Amino acid sequence: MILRFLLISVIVLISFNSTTAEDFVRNLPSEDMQKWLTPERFQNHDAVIILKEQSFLINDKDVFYRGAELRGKSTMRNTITIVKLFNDAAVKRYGSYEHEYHEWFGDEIPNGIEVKVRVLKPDKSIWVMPEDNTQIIVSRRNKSGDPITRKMIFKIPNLAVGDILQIEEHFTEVFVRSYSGLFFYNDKDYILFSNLYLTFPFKEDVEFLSFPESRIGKPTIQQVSKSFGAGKTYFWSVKDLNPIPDEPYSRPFAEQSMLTAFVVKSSDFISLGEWQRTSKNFYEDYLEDDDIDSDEIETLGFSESYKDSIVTWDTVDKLYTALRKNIVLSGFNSLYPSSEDISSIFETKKGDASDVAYIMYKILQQWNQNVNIVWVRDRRDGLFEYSVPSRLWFDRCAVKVVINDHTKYYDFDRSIPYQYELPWFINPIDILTIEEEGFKKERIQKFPNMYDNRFTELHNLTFDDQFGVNDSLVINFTGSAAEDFRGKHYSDENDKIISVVKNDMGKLCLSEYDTVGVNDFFYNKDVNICLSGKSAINVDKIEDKYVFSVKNYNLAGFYEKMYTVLRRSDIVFHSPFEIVMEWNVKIPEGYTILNDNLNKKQFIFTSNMYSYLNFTF
Amino acid sequence: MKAVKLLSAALIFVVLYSCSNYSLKKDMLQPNALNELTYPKVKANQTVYFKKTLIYTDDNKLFIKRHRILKLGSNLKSAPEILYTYDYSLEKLLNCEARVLRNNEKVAYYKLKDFHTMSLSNARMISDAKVRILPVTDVLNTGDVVEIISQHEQTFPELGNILTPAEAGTNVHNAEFVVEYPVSDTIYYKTVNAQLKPDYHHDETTSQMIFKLNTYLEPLDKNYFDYKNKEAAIYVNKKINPVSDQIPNWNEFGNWYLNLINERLHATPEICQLAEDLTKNLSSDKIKMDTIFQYIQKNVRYEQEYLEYGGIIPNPPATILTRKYGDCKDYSLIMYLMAKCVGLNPDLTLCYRGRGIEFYDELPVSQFNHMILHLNSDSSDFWYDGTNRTGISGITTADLINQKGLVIKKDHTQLINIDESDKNQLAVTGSLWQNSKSLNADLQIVLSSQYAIKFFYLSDYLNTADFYNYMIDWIHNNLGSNLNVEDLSWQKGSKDFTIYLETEIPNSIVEIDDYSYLSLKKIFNHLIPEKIINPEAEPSINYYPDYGRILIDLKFPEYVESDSVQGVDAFHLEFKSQLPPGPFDTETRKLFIRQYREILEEYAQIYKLNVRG
Repeated sequence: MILRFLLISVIVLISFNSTTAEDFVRNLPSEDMQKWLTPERFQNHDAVIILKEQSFLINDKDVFYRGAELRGKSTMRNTITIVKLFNDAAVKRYGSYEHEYHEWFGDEIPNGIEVKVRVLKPDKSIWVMPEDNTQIIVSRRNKSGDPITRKMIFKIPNLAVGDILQIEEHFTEVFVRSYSGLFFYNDKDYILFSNLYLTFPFKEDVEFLSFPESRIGKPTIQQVSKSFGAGKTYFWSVKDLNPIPDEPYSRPFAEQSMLTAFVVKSSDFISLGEWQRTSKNFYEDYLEDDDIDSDEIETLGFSESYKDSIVTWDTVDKLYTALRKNIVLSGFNSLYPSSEDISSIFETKKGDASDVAYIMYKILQQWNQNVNIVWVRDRRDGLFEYSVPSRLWFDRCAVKVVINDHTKYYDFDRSIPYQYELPWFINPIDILTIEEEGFKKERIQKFPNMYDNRFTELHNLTFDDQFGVNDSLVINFTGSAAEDFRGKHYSDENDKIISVVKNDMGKLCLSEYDTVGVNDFFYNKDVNICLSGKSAINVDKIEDKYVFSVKNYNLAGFYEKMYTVLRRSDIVFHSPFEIVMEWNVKIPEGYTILNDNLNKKQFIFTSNMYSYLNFTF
Repeated sequence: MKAVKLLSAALIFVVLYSCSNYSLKKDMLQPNALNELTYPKVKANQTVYFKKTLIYTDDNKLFIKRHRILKLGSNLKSAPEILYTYDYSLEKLLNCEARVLRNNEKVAYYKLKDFHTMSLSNARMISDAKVRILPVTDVLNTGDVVEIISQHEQTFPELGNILTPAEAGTNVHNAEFVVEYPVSDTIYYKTVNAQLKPDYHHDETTSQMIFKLNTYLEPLDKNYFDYKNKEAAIYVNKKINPVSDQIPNWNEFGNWYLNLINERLHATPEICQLAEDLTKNLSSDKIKMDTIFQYIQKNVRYEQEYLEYGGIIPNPPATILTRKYGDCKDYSLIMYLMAKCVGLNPDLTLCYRGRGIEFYDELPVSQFNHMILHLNSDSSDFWYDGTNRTGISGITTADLINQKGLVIKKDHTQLINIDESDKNQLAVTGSLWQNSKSLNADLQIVLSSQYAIKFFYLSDYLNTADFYNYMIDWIHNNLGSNLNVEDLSWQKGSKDFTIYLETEIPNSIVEIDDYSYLSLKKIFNHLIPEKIINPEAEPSINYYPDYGRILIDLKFPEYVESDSVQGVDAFHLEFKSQLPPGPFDTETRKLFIRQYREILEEYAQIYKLNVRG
C-alpha cells in the first residue's frame, strides 16, 4: 500500500513540468507525500532524495570567436535534486553547495552554469533563493590571470530539519572533449526516484547500456525535444535505490551504483563508439610520435649499445626501475600521454603514469622489443564494462612486454615499488592492448596468493628489574599491504613517515620510543619498520606470579578500521592476505613459564580471527 | 569558530612591506651570504634561512616582510606543497618574488605576476582568502635552493603579531626577527620559551630590534602533560591607544575592538521584537539569557562565510537573523544584541577553543580563535556558546575549561577564567560476566555537563553512520582499546549524554589456581593515561588532557572477593577520580602529581575473586 502511494505520488511529481513556478523544471511533492516522508519511516537515514534527475543533451554548437565562426560539440547537463532533510547532519550537508569546473578556453569561450533553489517549509511556505545568493568565482588562475577553474558556491539560508529542498543546476560546456557518458542512479542517500534523460540529434546513432539491465530496463523515447533543439530524448526511471556511503573495505561507488552508459556509434562530426575506432585513433594520435632521444635514454643509465643487444627481463626491469627513480609521478593521471612533448618529462623529471608508460613503451620499441601500450582501469575505481566502448573507463596507460612468449605488465602507479611488482589493483583486470590496427581485449590474471600479501610483526620482549617490558618490534608488509602503505606516503618526507609510524602503528604496542626506523620502501618491495622502546604491555603481579598480555598492531589496527555498527555495504577484501605475528619473550632469570601457550612460539591468524595471548610465568 | 581562526592565522602567516617602488630582489642573498649559512646536511627539506620583519610606520600601518630560503631535500615529491603564500583582507599581499638557485646559479626568477592564484572558498567556507602558488615544481631538483620574499600589510596592527620560527616549518636554521619602528614610537615585546635578547639599532628616523635564533627543531616527543605551543616566540605590539601613557593592555584592546565593530552593535527593531517576544514574562536575567541562547543555537546553523574583514568582524545582525546561519562571532553578536534589547548586560568574549595552549597575558597580542558571550548574574559568570548548537545554558564545552576569556566591556575589558563546571563527570556503570578469559559487559556510559556538549553536537551534526564510528573510536581511545563493541545506542538528556554499550573485553580475567583476578586497568586500559613522571619532567606538567572527573561502578554478579564470606553481595568495583584539569601553577602541579600517582595505583589494583557459591 505504501509503495503504491509512493509510486502514484512520485509519478505525479515527475510527470508534469511546473506550472506554479515557471523557472523550475519539476514540481515540489504533494502535501500527502510530504506528510508520508517521516524519519520514522526511514530510520537511520539523514535524508531521502525524492527525485534525482539527470538530463544530458549533446549537439553541435556554433561559437563566434574573434570574428571566426567555430563549430563543435556542446553539452548541457541539468541536475535536479529534491530532498527531504531528516536531521541537522543533512541540513549541514545539503546547506552548502559547490560545483567546480574547468574552463578549457579561459575567458575566451567560458562554460555556463546557473542554479535555481527553493525550499518547501513544513508550514507549506516556499522560499525561492534569489540569484544574487550564488557566487561564481575563479577558483584557480594561471599566471596570465586566465581562469583555469571556476566554482559556483552558495549557502542556503534558513534551511532546517523537515524542509524539502529543490536544487536545479544547469551546466553548459562548450567544445567538449569527451563524447560518451556514464550516469549513476544511486547516491549517498536513499533515493525514491532516479531519472535520466539523454537527448541526441536525430542524425546520431546512439547505443545505450544499463547495469543491471533487468532493473533499469530499456529507455522510452520521451519526447522530440523542442527546447533542447531537434533530437530524440531517451528516458529511464528507477525507484527505491539504496544509499551508498563511503565505507572501509567496500566496493567502489561505481561498482555498487546502477548506471546507464551511452555510446555514439556514428555521427557526421566525430567517429567513435567502437573499440576498434577509438583505439586506432588513440594509436594514431598519441603513440606514433617521435622516438625518445638517445641522450635522454642515457640519462636513465642505458647506453646506445642497448639498442643492438639482447634485451632480457632483467634489462626491462632495470629500465622500469630507472624510470621510477628518475621521474616523480604526479598524483593524478590522464589516459593521454604527453607524447608530443616528451622531452619536457625528462627536463622536469615529472610526469603522470601514462607519460612514463609511454617513455618505456617507446624505448623498448626502439630496442625492437615486442611491446604495447595497454589501457588500465584500476580495481580501486571499479570494473570496466567491455560492452560500453568508451575511453572514460580508463585511468591510465601501462606497458605490456612479451619476451619469449612470456608476458609482463608494467604499471606506473605511486603504490608500486621501484623494483617492479604486479600490484593488486591491476590483478585481475581486463585490459585493452592498443595496436597499430586496433586493439585486443586481454586479461591480467596472475592468481594472487595470500602469502604474497602479508602483514607480519615480530616482537622481542625483555623485562627490566621492575618488570617493565621492553619491546624490539619489526613490522613488515609485502604485496598489497606494502602497496597501500607506499601509496599513502609517496609524497611524505622521512620525518613525516616516522611520525605516522609512531602515532598510528607504534602507539598500539609501545608507550615510549628508543628507536624508529623505516626502510627505503619506495625502492624495495617490502615495507620494513623497526621500533624499539618501552612496551605498552603492563605486567601484573598476582601473588608471587607475574602476568601479562601481549599487544599487537596488525589485528588491533585491522579491527578498528573494519568494524562499524551501522554498515550498509558488503565487506570486500581486495586480495587474499595473511597476518603473521610472533612474540619472542625472554623470561627473566629464575622464573619459569606456567602457561602452555608459550610452547608455541608463532601464531598465525587468518583474517576472521582476533585473539590476545596470555603468557604467565 | 573557524572565523576567528583566520584572525590567529593572520598573525601567524603572511607577509610585508609596501612602498610601491620597493624592490624585493635587492634583498635576496648574494652568493657569498648564501655560502655562509650554516645548517646540518640532512635528506629532508629544511628552511636554512628565515627572516621576518615587522615595519611600523608613522601613519600607524604595519607591514610584514618574510624572507625564506628552502633547501630541497631528497624527496622532491613534497616540495611543491610549501611554495605558496596567502592573501586576504586581514593580511593583504602587496608583493612577492622568488628565485630558484642550483649551485648558487640562478635557474629561474619569478615575480608576483608569475604566481598562480587559488581561491580558498568552497562549500564549507566562503571567504576572500586566496593562496598564491609559486609554479616552480617543474624546475626543482634535490639540493636546489628556493628563495621567497613576500610583503603584506596587516590591516589591523592593533592585533599585535607573533614572531616565531615555527611559522617557517619544523626545522629552521638562521632565523632572524626584526621589528622596525619610528624612533618616536615605543614597541613592546615578550619572549617566550627561549632566552632571546634583542640588539638595537637606531638612526635618525628609525629604530630596529633584532632577535636571532640559530636553530629551531620541532620536538618529536613532547611531554604528554605539556603545552602544545612550546616553540620560541616573540609577542609584539605597540601602543593601541596612541594618546595613552600606559603600556598597552587588554582594556585598550577591548575598546579598540568594540570601536572596530561598532557599526554591528545596533539591533534592528525585528531583533528586539524577537527578543522581547522570547523573554516576555520571564523573571531573572539568567533565565532570559538562557532562553535567547536556546532559541539562537537551535535556529541559527553554523556556517562560515566571511568576506571583507569577516575573519574578525561579525556579519550585520539583520543578515544573520535573516539567513539564519553564521559563525561564532555571528552567534555571539546576535545573542548580545537580543540580550541588550531586553535590558541584560552581556559581554562579547574572545577566547581560544582547544586545550593545551599556554596563554600569554602580559601583552595584548591576539591569541584567540573563538568568540562566545559572557553574562555576570548574581555575581556568577555564565558563558554562552551558540556555536555548539545543542549546548547547555551558561557553560562552555570542555575544551574551554580554564581558558582565559577576554570579556570585552567598554573601558572595563578584562581576562576572566572560564571555570570548570563541578557537574562534569564521566560515569561508567554496568554488569560484567565471564566468558572464558574475556568479560562480557552491559555498560551505561554517562557524560555529564561540559563533557556532554560535544556529544550533543556530534549526535546531531554527524551523519548517523559517522556518529556510530565516532563513538566506537571514542570508546577505544577513552575506555579500552581492546573493547569489542557488539551493540551500541545512545540517548541525549538535557544535561547529559548516555551511551548504552554491549561489549566483550578479551583477556580481562586471569585465572590462577581456583581464583580469578582482575583490575580496572585490565578492563579499561585507556581510562587513565599511564605516564611516568620523572622528577626532571615535573616542570613541564602543565595540564591534564583527559577526563579528570570519573566515576566507575561495575558489578560482577558471578564473583565475590576471595576474602568475603560465601553468599554475600556480588563484587563491586568502584573507582573515583577527580584530577584537576590545569593549567597548573607550582602548587597545583604538586597536588596534581600526587593525586595522579594515587589514582594510578588504585587504577592498577588487582582484585582476587571467587566464583559465588
